[in-house]
Amino acid sequence: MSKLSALLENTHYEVLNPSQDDLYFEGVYATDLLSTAIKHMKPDMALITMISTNSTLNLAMMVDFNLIILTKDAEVSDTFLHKATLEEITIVKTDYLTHEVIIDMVKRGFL
Amino acid sequence: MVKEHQIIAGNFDLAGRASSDLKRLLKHSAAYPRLFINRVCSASYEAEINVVIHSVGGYMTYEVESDTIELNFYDDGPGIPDIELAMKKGYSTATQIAHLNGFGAGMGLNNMKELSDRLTIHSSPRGTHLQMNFKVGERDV
Repeated sequence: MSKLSALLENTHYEVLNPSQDDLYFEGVYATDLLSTAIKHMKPDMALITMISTNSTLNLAMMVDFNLIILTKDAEVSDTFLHKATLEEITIVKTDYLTHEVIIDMVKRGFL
Repeated sequence: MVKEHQIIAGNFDLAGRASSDLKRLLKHSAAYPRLFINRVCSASYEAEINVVIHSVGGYMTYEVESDTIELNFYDDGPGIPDIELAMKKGYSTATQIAHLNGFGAGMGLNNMKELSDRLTIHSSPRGTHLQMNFKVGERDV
């Protein structure tokens, strides 16, 4: 299990909504195609994506994960953040591209 | 227990209500493994999205019994002209809005087939009835 607070030690990541203090995640899945996430994601993983719609949050609720990492260029609305907060889903924004997030995580031992 | 939910065509914001309700029910009962609940609700969400994207609207019902769950999705058309073709990975007639929401890559029916224990589809131009059955099994432990 990886700790969100450890991920946030790199200042390229920023939490956008109130977060659980000790949020953990177990592996990541990166995609902008939510149907593949439905098929492959396991509970407690983190999703890396640039799709920031209600569908992304609904997916998190169905699959049972509560960390979404939004990559560079993802647009985040107040409505999206509000719903994420209600559903206790933590939204992290980064200026990294998807592959840069993966590289960073591998380098720092998250993966 | 049987319950029914309306599904509104084209409304991605409201898609997932039925599956969320089902998930709450299953979690509350504490009788089902977590992986089983995820499998059922993921398939249910995929089916909801399918109705949102491809139909003029419909509804879903779910029936929960001890270790089996039956989901039924009904819509009012326009139907699936070639079900075999629609089941092929990558085949899609989805619109741009579906793509912007992360769906519409032709994986939906295939996902439902793999996530459920049985999938049956009946379709005509007047509408489609999709049924999925689930039973707690080895892959849920």
